[in-house]
Amino acid sequence: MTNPATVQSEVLARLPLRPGPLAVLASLANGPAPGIAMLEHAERMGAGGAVLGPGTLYRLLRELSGDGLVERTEAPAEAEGPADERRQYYALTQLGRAVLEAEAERLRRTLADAGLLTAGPGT
Amino acid sequence: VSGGRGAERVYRVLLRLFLPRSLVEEAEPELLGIFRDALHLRRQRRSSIAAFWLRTIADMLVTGVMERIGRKDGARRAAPDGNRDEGGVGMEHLLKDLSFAVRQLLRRPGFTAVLVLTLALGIGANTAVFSVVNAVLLRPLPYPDQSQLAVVFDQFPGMNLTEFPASGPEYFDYRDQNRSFEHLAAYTTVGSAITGDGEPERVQYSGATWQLFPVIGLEPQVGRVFGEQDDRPGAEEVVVLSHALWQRRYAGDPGAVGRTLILNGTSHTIIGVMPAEFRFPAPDIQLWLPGRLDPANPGGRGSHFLSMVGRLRPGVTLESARAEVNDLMQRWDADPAIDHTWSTENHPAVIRSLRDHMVGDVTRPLWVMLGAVAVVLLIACANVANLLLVRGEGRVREISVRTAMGAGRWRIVSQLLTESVVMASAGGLAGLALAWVGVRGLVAIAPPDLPRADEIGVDPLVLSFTLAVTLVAGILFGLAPALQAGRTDVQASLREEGRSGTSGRRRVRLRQMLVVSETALAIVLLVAAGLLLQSFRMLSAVDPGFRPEQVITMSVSVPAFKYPDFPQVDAFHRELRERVAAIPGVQTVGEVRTAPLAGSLSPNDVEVDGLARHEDGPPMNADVQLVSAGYFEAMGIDLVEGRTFDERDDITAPVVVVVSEELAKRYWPDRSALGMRIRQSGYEPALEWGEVVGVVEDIRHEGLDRPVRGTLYFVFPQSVRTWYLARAMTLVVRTNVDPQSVISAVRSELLDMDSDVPLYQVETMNSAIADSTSTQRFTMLLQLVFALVALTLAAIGLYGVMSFTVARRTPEIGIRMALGAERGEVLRMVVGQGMGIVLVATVLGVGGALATGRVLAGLLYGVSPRDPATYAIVVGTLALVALIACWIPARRASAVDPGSALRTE
Repeated sequence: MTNPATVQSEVLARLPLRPGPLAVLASLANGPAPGIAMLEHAERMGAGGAVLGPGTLYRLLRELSGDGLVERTEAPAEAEGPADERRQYYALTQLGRAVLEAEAERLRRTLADAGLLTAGPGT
Repeated sequence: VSGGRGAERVYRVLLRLFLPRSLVEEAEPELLGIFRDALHLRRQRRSSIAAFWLRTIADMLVTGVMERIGRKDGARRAAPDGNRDEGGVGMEHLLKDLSFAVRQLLRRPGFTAVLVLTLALGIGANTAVFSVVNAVLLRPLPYPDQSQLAVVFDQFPGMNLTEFPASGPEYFDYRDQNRSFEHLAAYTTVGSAITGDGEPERVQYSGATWQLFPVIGLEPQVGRVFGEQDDRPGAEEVVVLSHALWQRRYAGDPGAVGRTLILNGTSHTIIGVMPAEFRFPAPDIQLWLPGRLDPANPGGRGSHFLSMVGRLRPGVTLESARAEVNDLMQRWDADPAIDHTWSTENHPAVIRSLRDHMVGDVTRPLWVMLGAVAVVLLIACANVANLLLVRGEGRVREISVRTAMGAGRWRIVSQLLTESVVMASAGGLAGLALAWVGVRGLVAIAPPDLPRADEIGVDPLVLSFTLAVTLVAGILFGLAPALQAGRTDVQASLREEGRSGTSGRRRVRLRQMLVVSETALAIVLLVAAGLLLQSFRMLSAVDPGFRPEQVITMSVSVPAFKYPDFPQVDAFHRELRERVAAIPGVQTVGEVRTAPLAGSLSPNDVEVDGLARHEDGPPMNADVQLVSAGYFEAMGIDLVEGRTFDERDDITAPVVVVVSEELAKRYWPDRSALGMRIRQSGYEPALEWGEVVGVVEDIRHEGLDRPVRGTLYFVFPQSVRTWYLARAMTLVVRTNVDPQSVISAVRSELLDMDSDVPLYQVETMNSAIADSTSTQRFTMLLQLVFALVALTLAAIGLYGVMSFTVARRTPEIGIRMALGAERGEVLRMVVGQGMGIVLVATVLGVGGALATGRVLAGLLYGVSPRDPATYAIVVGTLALVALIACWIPARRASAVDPGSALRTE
């Protein structure tokens, strides 16, 4: 339905990603996650300065969902229990996944161009 | 706040403070959910709570600022140049604002220093004091289910004894008949010498029934504790070590368990070591021994020596335990077979929670201190607000220029806001440093008997709290002028430099109100400090009844295993006194069982020859003291009548006693006490009568602020006939050199006599007096510091307001002077205006001080909380300081050159 070329330009128009949005999108790469998981992921990635806590994270999520990159979702079936019911889960949209992958590719190319990326087994 | 719910409440409050309402309405549940998870995670990982809160506050600050300067909805539309990245622009602005803010602050070092110092004082002092209060009063004791722990004491209301030990029979009666306590332990505290390996060492130990360990509920760190089988008469001698003694004497070697320790000449097997938290009944207790009370032979009902501590059964409250003991007492009252036990009337039992018992005495001084320091924080906040308002006024023109050049309103607001936050953070850091130093300082000058002093440290939660308070104050007041500046009419400001108009007048009024409130609060603190200072002076002027100068006391205990019989003990003490008297520099030597200010005396029942015990008669009870020949002379207690003890009064001579003036007046009001006969009652067989040979001056044995009590003195060599076999005595040495200089000579004489006898509790009487008033001195000193800080802050505030008023009114003053006003008139006008503010503040402050005086009443000695002299001095001091604060700007005003003032207009 959607013209692939339009999608491509939609994706490219969003690159490069700032550290905050990149950290949030990356934390959702393996499936839906709650806020606390994103905070932890951001801290592990060294993006703790961009995602300080609930407030900054919320603003990023609002921005990303306004942009159509993430969406609210139900808690996954394996995460049950009273504590999880209160949690808001987020997931990548198709566009979000495309943007994340494009950004990853862009980063890879950037590093490879600079000779900083050792060739993996597949390349 | 330490619990999750408390933290959530704090977070909710912060949300409302920092974030725009729209965002809170939209996102509160989600933000709270994430916060809750983060809090949970922090607990699991045991990461720093201070770091967590700082990060949370930073998150909120950034969110609040970004939300206000960014667009309200999160939708991003592609701009023509492809840059949709407003968040990025916001972050860039933030960084620019930050560096600009730092430069701005550095450009006005004086202003910045005052502001940062004000914040630091507020944060640091509050954190320091609250850390102490928290550790001593608020934090639970380190024992499991500590709220179920309670102490039980006897009371003798007629003798003003509110917490008195129980007797053996009372303990057994209550232990066996109560249903409230799961376990009830009885214990005593005794000093004794460890001998054998190494230097003889005097230690405090507790003889306790086996229930002590289940009551407190802590497991031993090594080995085991003693149980019921060890607590029977005749069982093997065992001992449990404190963590401190284990570390010191056995270097923390677990192999110490099983070894033996010689205590008082008897071998005891070490069976266990308690953990460091186990510090019951006192931190200086080094050992616990089975108390071995014998129900078959419980001792006399009048022999009060047992303290009790118990663990209430689950679900039983203090109230229900008290109700039960009341029922028991009524039953005992009704039983004619039981004499001298707890009764509702004149000998009730009292049950208090262990924590109240431990910290009861310091509760009021600590709360007063906390109140005072909270007032300092209020004043600091008012001053911060004031200073920021001044700064806002001063920068209207600068802001107007920037607005005219196209800076957006939010840009300017966010920039001023950033400055406030940077300042508040700098103040916070300085405050942290001050708190760290302050807590150490407080502990260093705290009275030596401050309970739980070893648990005090900078409390991260308190630090976060005060940090947040001042941060909020900084932001609120930083924002107020920022918003006003943002709204400034560019044209008007550039034309008039923002010095007229109604908003200007409103701001002046706001600032005057701030100064009035901080000055009034400062008066309240000054009055409190003044009263405590007066009270301390009165206390220091009290005549203790003895002459403490040049006197040193040292305790000596003669072990029973080497000196089993009294004649040997008596000979040892006599020889020691003779040897010490021969030391160069020593003037007089005596001995006493309990030196003044070193502990309470035993109030025992007495019998007076020819005076029958009668309900309406004088109380037949006296403090009993044991002294040697030479004691009254050495301690400097004056003889009123008759003679003091001398070497004639030996073990074979007729029994003689000396009484205090109070006792002599009580029993022989209209005749001389000399030749009268008195003895302790309640002994089987009855003790010998003692003939009064002397009357001495009353002394304040328990403290300068305590009443004198009737005291009955026995002479040491006759103690076995008049009281009991005493072994431990305190040497009282009056010198004509520095009293400290004779210690080593005394020690070597003692070593020469017997190397198994330790010398302990060495203290000059002067320092004993200083220690006895240390709580009052501590409270007074802190209050004084707080009051001076408050006065300084109020003066800064007043000066700020007056300087600003003068600057604002310079053209008007110019006109007045051009129209012929004298310099003096201008001076009077400005000073008058400032003193008007001070007058209003004084009325409010004096009112406040009178209203809060009642809180202080319990801490004052010899001074009324409404002492007019104190109020007069405070008001006078304040007026003087205020006058100086107004004088400087007033002089500047009177030096205005009319011509140039009018030209600027």
